[in-house]
Amino acid sequence: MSLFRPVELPCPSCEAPVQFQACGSVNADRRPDLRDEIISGSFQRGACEKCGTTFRLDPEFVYLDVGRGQWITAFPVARVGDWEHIEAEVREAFAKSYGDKSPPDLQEIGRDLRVRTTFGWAALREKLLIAEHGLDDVNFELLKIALLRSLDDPPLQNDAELRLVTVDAVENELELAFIVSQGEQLIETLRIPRELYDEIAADQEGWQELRNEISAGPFVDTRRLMVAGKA
Amino acid sequence: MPNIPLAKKLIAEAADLCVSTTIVADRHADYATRRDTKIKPKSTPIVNSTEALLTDAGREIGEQLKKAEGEAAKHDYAKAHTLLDDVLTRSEKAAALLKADTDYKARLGVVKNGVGLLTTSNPASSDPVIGGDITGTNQSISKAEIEAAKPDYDKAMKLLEEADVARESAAVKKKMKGNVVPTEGELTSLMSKPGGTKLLDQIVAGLGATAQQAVLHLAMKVRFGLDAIKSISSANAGTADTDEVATAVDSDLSLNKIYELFTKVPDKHTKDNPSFAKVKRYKGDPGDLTSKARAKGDYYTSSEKEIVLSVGRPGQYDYTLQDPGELPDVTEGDCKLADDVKPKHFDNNTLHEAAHAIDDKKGFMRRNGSGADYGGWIDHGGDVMPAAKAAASALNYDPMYIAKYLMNEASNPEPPPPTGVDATDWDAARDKAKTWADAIRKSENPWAKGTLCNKNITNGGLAIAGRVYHQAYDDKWVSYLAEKRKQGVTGYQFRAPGEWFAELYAAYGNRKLKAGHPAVRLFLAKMFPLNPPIA
Repeated sequence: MSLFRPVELPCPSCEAPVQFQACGSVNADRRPDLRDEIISGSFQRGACEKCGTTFRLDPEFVYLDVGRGQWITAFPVARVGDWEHIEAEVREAFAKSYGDKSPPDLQEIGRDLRVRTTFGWAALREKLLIAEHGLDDVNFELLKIALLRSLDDPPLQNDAELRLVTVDAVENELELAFIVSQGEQLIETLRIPRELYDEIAADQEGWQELRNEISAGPFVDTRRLMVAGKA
Repeated sequence: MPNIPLAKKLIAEAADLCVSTTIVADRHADYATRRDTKIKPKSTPIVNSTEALLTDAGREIGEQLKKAEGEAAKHDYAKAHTLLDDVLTRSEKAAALLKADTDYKARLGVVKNGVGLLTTSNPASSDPVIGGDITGTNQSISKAEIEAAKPDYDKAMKLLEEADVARESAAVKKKMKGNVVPTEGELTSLMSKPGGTKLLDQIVAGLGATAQQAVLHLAMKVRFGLDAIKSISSANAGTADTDEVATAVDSDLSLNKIYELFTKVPDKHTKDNPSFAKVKRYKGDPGDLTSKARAKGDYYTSSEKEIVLSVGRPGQYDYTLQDPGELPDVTEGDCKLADDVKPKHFDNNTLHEAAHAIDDKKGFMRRNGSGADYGGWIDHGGDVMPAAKAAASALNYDPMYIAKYLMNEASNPEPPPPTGVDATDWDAARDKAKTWADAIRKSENPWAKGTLCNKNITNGGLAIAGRVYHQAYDDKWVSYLAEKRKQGVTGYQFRAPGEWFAELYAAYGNRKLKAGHPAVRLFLAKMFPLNPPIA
């Protein structure tokens, strides 16, 4: 259905123990409400009963949405530097659950799933929004690269990331935001004409090298090509 | 007697001869004038040159001039002029050759001098940083000299220019590799040369982990116009404000990588693309923006920093199977786990959801779940009456009261004891019913209460006539065969039919079930063969 396990955490403010149901898996086909909560930002939020301090639990779970063809392993943003090792684990997990190490019936389901790994809530939310609006996440990451390359003084910094906020069908614009990775504070908002995305998506030749590089594994994200990574 | 006609004829002939002679004289004068004013000023320096380069040309031009003189003497001025044309062409060509040679030698001197300044290593090719570049540069110079000797100065000069760009590149490389920040002008100059941008990209690609921030920042600025990158580490370097080399965090952005990434962006999708002019940027709090711009995007705010808590790495926690507290009676050998190594939460959850996916697709539990071998499940939907009636029958109490209690509805007044039933017994039955009802609500995780599930309701347990009833979800009541818990893998397996299958499948997929487990024998191994099969 969707698995949770009870955990006890110290309140970040008063350090009182806080009981919380930590998510271990989300099955969006059976629990679409959890998908809605991820998109709305309410999922895995809690509050200390003693002092009222609100918080959000770092994501670390498997997300399945057969209907939309999404299988996502979500990890805390702090672990992004470990993406290469995590990718290896994710590939193995997928092989066992839907790939060549799984029963044929599961492989049949797996053929229609896009395997992705995300770090942080913003990245996971973005993947759901991209699917929601019929965009392609690889092309969307290429759009981000084009923006970073072309904007004057983009906030390129270690603790910032560029994420989709919404798709404005009326204005035919994509709204993106530079946010602080841990804490999701807004740094800057961008409104992008949709045509920019469409141009990149249509350019099969010019972007092919980067398209291949960014989709070389489940971690389909600009940071794949920007963080130092481990040797 | 004067012969007038003859005289006229002779006079006419003399006049013709005069005219003819005059013409010849004029033609010769034209020839001589051209030779002396147009041709010789260009041919004489060549003929008289002591440059070895011009020896052949000088000799050939001299011979052509002699031929021209010969033709002029024969009054064949057409041929004479043609020969002068040839002399002129040869002279100009020889002069151009001389100029090209002079220019080439001057340029060669500059380039060689520049290469000589690149290093103090002797030989220059032994320079530890740019030795290879110097060797390559010298090879280009050697090729240029071969072409110049042919002489093909166009090719020679092209090779010299390539050598000079390589020299310039080597100079920049030596600085950058030595963590000396070059000037902006040096990088701009290199980029302005043919192939210079590619060379700069190669230099940056080769800088590696020891590159200083300032060096990379300048390269980013000149190459991509990015002048405000202040807090990004190079692959292994320290902060932007220092020249110290330090260990970067694994998740730090790498200037080296970003530089490389940006070199791969198609030019047509960079700043010159007209669509970029339509990009709108809003600094600061989005609440300050116009309502139109913010029509749909108000998800992130700059005013509030979210507190994010971590529970460590829950995915790496062990997932407990056959917890004695949940399943105290798994005693049959084939139903025990294949080994004592616990699967990880991540692995279990992944296979658990995969099982739901296949169950949803195949309708496996919908078709089979009611069978005794599959848990003997009954889905009561939102109807609490089957559970209430079963409890009422076991406890000899009022089913409607129990049903209402299960639905959190008060019974007022409470039902009186039927005729012949002692009031104390009646009240005791009601209390047992309430205890049971409180324990089977979803919020109480009744599926995890191993001991209670094995105990009859009359003794304070949850089992009623061999079945366990409980609320699986808000509007879903189920019941199953209590004895099936003896074949279980987790308590959660007994929450609902789908979970029964999902938990079994996850344990099977993680190779924690034995080949002799009833579920493996009955359907798992046949319907969901693993590769390799479990032993």
